[in-house]
Amino acid sequence: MTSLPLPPHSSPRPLLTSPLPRSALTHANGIQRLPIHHSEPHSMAVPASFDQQPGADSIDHGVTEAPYERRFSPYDFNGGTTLAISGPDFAVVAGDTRMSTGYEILSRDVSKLHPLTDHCVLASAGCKTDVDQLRSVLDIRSDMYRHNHQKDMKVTSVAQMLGNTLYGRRFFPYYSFNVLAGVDAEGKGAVYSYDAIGSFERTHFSASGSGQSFVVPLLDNVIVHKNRQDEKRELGAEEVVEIVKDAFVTAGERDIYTGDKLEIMVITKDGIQKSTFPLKAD
Amino acid sequence: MTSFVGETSFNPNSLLEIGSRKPNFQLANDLVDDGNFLIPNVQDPAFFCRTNFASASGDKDKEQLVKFAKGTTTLAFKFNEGIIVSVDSRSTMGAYIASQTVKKIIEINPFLLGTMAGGAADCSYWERNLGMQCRLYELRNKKRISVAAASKLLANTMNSYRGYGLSMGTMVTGWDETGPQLYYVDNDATRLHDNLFSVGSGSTYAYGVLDTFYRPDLTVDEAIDLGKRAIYHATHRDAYSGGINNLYHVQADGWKKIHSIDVNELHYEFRDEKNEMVA
Amino acid sequence: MASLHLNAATTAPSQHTKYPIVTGTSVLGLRYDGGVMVAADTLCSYGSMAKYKDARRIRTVGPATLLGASGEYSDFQSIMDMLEGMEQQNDNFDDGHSTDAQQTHSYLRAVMYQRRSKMNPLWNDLVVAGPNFLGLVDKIGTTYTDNFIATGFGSYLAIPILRKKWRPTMSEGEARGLLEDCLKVLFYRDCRALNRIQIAKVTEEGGAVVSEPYEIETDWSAASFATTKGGLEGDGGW
Repeated sequence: MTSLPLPPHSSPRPLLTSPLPRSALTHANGIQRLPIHHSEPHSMAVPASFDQQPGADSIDHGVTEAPYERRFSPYDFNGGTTLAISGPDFAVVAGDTRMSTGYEILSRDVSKLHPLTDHCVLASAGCKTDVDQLRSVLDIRSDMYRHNHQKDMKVTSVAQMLGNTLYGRRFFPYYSFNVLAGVDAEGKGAVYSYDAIGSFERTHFSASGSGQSFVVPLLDNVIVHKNRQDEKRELGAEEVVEIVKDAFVTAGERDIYTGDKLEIMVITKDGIQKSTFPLKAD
Repeated sequence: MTSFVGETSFNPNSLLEIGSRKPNFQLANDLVDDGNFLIPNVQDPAFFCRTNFASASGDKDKEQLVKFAKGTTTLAFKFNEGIIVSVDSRSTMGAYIASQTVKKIIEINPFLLGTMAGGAADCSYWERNLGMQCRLYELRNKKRISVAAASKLLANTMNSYRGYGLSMGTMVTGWDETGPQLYYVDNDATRLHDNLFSVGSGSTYAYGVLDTFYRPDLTVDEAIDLGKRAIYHATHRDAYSGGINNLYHVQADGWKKIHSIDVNELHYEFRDEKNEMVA
Repeated sequence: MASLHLNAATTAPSQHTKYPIVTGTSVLGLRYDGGVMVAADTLCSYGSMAKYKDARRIRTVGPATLLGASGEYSDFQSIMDMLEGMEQQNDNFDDGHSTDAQQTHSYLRAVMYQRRSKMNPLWNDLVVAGPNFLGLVDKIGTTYTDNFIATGFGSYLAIPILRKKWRPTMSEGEARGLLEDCLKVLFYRDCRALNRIQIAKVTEEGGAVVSEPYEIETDWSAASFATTKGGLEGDGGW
């Protein structure tokens, strides 16, 4: 990557920077690294902040300046897993209800699912505050559409709107990993997966969040029949719901951020049906 | 936005308005469609964006919190019977394969194709934006836009965001009044005009195959075979490429989708071929 | 469409909050049968110095909402000014309406999110309580509601106690006892806590009320404090 010359007044910065403290560094699948606290700010090979390090030269090594929060990160990783599977005339979308920060559980009962229309549900994991903001913005846009056109947006349109909304924050992304599920105009199940800045694709199933890596391989095998020799048969809605429960139990076993309770919504042309299922609270 | 969301700016212009709360439509609209991108409020936004929110290739973004979908091999070449565009369909986020079924050929309009390499969101958004600009051109000028002009529009857009960490390596191709044309445009606003390009992490492998067998006088079947083979070899050796080979042929009356073949199948097809040759 | 729009703030010299200076520690909130109770100590620390021992970190907002804050005290004062301005506007309209706890919670969430999006946060964790509402807003706008809430060190030390002892049918006395116990534990183990506390409650009938500060009894005779460890003088600290 070409580097532009730095403005003359600033001190040389380390090449790779991030707004996040080392303690919050996670990968897309939510594996948390252990926090490392450095008392000598200059020796940090760690991502530095975008401005001068305060108290760097003072005798107390900056200890009086909130030692564990030396830099402000606009993001937090609140964890959790979401999943959606489409069928010939239904779509199932599910998310756990645990909200965490760092190694702490903030709440065991926060929903990751958000119906945007009667036939379309958005499931999001990642940074809760960005997710809430995204939901607000999408609600406003859906409402405006409904007022202007006297009907609800179709799933295909919602999918494009979400992609554009996410890209609108290309230079300060919503840290939100989304899965959109619904029933399209022909009554067929539709599932769309997204990355953080709005690249999207209609897929048979999608999972995102911290437990994504545990759930996707399972569904590749069971739903899409990858790497299987036996005959593929069509799965009905009830069977898919059972598979979803199994998938979350699996994810909850190995992912610390997934657990407590599972919320499932089954979307058909007749509307949305909600159910819950308990998960381990450990 | 320097005012808080929800602040009611209240300047009664007439007696009748006293006591009425005026909702601040400006703010609601800003939230939804301000027509501009929200830039982080830091000293050097370009630096901040390209270090933290870049769609870098390979694992250059491993220190980044937010990784975006990318990675690829795409190729296109011009020959006497038109243009072949051949791509893979894998999308990766770090070491995780996000999808094996990405559509990396973007149908801008029935006569123009764009390919996707680099940041998936960047490519699909700006090429869709290009489609809109092309349509506006058609409406204003009552004729289809040339490939040269379309690629120039895209390059100009990339120039505006230079330094902000966009990652896009695309080929814009179509058949206009001057015949079949192929342009390469990337996120630095580089714009090149040539007969043969390959873009992406697997491009080096594809070039090997392409350069060896490319001739302008290939038949259509030979050209399709070449496009298929080049992508297969790239997906075989590049970890960030794989999935399905999507191949399109650009002809005088528009583009046509030729095939969608899993590269795994191609592996066995070519292996059998190799065994037969040796035998 | 393809133009770039830079915020004015990036060209002018600006002061962004990088770290808090005068800080308050944990705030606890708890639902009981009849209302919601919020508790906090009255200390604001200046780094490691216990400088302001009579800081009021729980305030009423309107007739029936409590707001408790941990983190930077000046940002809390700024938030109170803003909310008081809104209350004044409500009074001026004189239509019988005032902002309730849920609305205050939503509004604060929007404010915190906007400030974090400008990379200049209000460095607080806020606890909002109403007669039938208890929620938290943190400095980047993360929100949640629950039957009991704790910020700062309280989330590590008090939440386990609250998770164990809380019942929906707690009386006011029991709730207060439980909160006092939690604050006592916090005083024992949080270096930035104080044993001078305030308890506030909000109920349907009585509205929002904040008590005067008072000292809680602490007992340092427990074995873990008294006995020396591993041959060291004192409790192992320095």
